[in-house]
Amino acid sequence: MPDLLSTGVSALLTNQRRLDVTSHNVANANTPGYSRQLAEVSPQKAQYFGVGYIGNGVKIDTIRRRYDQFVSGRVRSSQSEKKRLDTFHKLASSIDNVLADPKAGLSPALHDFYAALQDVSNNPTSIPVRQSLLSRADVLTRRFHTLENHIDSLEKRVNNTVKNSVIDINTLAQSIAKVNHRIVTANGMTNEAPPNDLLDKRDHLIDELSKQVAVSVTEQDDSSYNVFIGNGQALVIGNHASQLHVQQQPFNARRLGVALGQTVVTNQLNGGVLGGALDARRETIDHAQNTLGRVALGLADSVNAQHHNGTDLKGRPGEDFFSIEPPDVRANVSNNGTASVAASLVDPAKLTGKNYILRYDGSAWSALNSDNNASVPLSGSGTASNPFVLAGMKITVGSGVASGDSYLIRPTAAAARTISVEVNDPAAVAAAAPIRTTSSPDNTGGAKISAGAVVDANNPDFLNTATITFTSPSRYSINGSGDYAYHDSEPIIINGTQINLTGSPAVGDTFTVEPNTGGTGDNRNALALSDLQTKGVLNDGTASVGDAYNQLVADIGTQTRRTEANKEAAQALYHHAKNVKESVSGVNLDEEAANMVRFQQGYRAAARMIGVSQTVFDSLINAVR
Amino acid sequence: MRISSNWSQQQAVKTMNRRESGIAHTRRQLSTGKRILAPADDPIGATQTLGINRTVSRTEQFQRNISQVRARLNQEAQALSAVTQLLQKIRQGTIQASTASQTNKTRGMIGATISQRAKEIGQIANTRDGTGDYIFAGYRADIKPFETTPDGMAYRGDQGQRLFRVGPDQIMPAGDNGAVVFQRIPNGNGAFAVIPDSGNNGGGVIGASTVSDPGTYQPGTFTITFTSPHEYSVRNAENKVVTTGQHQAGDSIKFNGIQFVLDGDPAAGDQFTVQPSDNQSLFTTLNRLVETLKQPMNDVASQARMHNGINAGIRGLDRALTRVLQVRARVGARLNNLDDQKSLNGAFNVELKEQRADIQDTDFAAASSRLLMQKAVLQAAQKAFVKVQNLSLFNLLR
Repeated sequence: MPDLLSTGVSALLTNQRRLDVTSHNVANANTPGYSRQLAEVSPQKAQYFGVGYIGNGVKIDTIRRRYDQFVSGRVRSSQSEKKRLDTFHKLASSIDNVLADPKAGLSPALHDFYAALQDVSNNPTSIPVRQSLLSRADVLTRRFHTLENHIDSLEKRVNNTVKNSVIDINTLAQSIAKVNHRIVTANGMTNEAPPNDLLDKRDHLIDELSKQVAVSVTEQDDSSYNVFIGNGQALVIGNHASQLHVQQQPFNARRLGVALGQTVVTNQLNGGVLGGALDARRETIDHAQNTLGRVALGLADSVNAQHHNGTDLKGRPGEDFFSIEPPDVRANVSNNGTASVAASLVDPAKLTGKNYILRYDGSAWSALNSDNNASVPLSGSGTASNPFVLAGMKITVGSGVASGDSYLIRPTAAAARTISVEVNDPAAVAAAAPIRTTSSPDNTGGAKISAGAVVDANNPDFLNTATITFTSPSRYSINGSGDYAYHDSEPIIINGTQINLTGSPAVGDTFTVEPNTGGTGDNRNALALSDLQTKGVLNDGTASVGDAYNQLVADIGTQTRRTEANKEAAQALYHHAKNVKESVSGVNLDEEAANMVRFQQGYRAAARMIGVSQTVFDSLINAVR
Repeated sequence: MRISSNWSQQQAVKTMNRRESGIAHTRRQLSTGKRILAPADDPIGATQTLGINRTVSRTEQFQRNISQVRARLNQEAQALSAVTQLLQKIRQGTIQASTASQTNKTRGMIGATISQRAKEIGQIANTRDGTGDYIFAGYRADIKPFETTPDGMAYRGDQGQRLFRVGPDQIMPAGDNGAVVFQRIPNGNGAFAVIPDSGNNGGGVIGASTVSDPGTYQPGTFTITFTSPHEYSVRNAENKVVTTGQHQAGDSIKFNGIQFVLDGDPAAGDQFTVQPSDNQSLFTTLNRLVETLKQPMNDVASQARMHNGINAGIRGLDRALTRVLQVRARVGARLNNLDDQKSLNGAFNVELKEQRADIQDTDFAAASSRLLMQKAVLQAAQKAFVKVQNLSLFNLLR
């Protein structure tokens, strides 16, 4: 029955509730993840009293939070992207800062090393100058180690990030599952009233989750959320949460990947801190490590090759100047066979900086690029006499391989870490060439012979004395036999040595190619070593060691810059999305204050109305006395 | 659009943070003087800088190499200059020895002086540089190049020449080996030599010789035999007679493009051999000269031998002087070249350093004014923040 009193009471209670809601909003104005709540009111059901419908007051239908699902989805995805770029940028700029640093970067040490080679070439007999070369070479190798260690520490940082991120994701997933359960229960208990704070909590948990990894969310009919990550792997279904775990990668025990149940999802996860760390590892850290290794290999191989062509202060042939480990081969931990695979470097100019997987399918070996599993051509048969040739390496496989076995080959992985100076005696620096040429003092013609350069130290007759005798001004014999035509300035290769004869010889003129005994002042090999600074030894012969390193600096610099620009764009997008969300769900204190005033007034008015109903009642009672 | 109180405050704080990090960046640019603090600031500029650094470092090394080369060349020039002076003194002494007023004793004394000077030349030939390398030894820098043996001066060095890189495409040799400077000196007139037989009894003294006709000149060994003091026949290596002729004292003998003056009257049976020039070491020339001057001169034959020996000695000295001067000229040319190269390198480096400064150095004026502006903006943001803080309806309700 319509009743002034009950209408007044309904207004009183309603305004009181509304004040409660307002004070709840004010209290939670700074709570992260809180969506402002509003009481939804509607008039009580009216009753027909002959003259018309008379209302019964006001009631609160429910208290609902102001929340837009789509806006929130946008905020989540832009936040995942922002976090991903943040993490990526931090890791990339860490490498970037170190590479070009004048104290930690490679360039100054590389310049000093080549300068020291020139100093030795100027003064081949000086022991202090040779010692200085060895010291500078040592500094250079240490610089490689420092850079490699720095990159390695970033690898560890990524591992830690992966571990911590997985822990966070798992915790959040479990919490989300629990809240799902409570929401479903609450829904059942209260019959349609939305459990606002639980809903806010669940949304907040999912927001936190999106910071770690990109998620997609679907709502079920019972109001529980299913959360998916990666390519659609389910993390939370209703009140059940799956767990991610960290595991060692199949070929590289030091590197961590992520699995969901039995499935390895490392390469499917994207977005968020976890996605950013994995991306940085794949794109920047691996690239930096491989390129640095390639630079080290190029340096060691080119210097060693030239050093072998020389003779040291005591007349001994040059040994390895740098020592460096051969390409790294790892067997897959799940291999059944026992074959051993060995790889060695043949031609640094053909190194690509990529890693390869060698696989045996039961009948034949094949090779794949380890980044994208694209197949790569493999020549040879894998035996010692006919090894596989792949990207500048030669690979031999032993017996005992089982079908399905695979091996990861990383040509450059160990290079920068293991490069070191092999020569420790300054006299053992091979600055001289092993051969020299002389023209006989009895020569009467005007021909000259060049100093001679080594082209093939493996020639079986290398270092044997050879005498060229001219039987006529245009024909000559070697060691008394053969009859060769003489062409002015045409190079002649004898016993692995190349010489040039220029001018016009006379009959009977002789020239000799002989071992360079006692040639301590000879600097030909040192000159050739110092000329390596500008010689193309990498990238198919187009880049010198310094060039390849500069290319790395440019690559990382560009990547970092690009990431920074993208990060700023992502930040702007997130900012915009958050603005919209806050305008929907955020608490504005001024608005709440105004509401407070409004509901207060309403309360007073309602109270007054109850007073009026009291007066009416009193009047009625007094009228009937 | 609704504004959430919490969010707008967070925004204000974020803005101030961004301004502050901008200021920090500018401050670092000012204090380090570098615009590019990390390659990401300007990847292209950073790479260019690395390339320039390498070239600058290499060019500076070339300049260092040039100093080393110059030192070596200067030392060689000094040695050669000393040798030239000694050779000139020896030549003077030799000419003096050939004057008629000399006696056996005085000639012997001149011979002794020449012998002493020859030893000095030998010492100069064994000069060592600052690091102890023998400068005339070719590649065998630790081995004394010239060693006195019973047979004369032996050359123990080789024919190598040390090369230095003084520019990106320029390689310069520094140092000439002892064989070139002292050993391989052609005797006679450079084309052929006339040698009197040691058993000659006459007074024939060989004078100036030339290739009179390059067209008909053919190198070969010829023997001129005097059948009488005024008649001779010339036979070639196959003992065939080439020509015969008459001769008076002071006439020249000519055949096959060969021409030489013969003073005095040879005796019947005297022989003279013409053969292509051989390489003869300076020390051999000097030794022979000293030996010649030791001989007594008491008859026509010994007089002829004396004069022939002295003439041969003077010819040898002239050849040696020519060679030494030739080498000196080459050294001088190289030194000039070095000066040019050094200026070139220096100018190149200055240019490169300017380029590098353009790319990577901070523009102080721009950076300072940017810093001022950034500070002003930050201050404005801070003031605005403070002002907005107090605007709340709750503050105004009672």
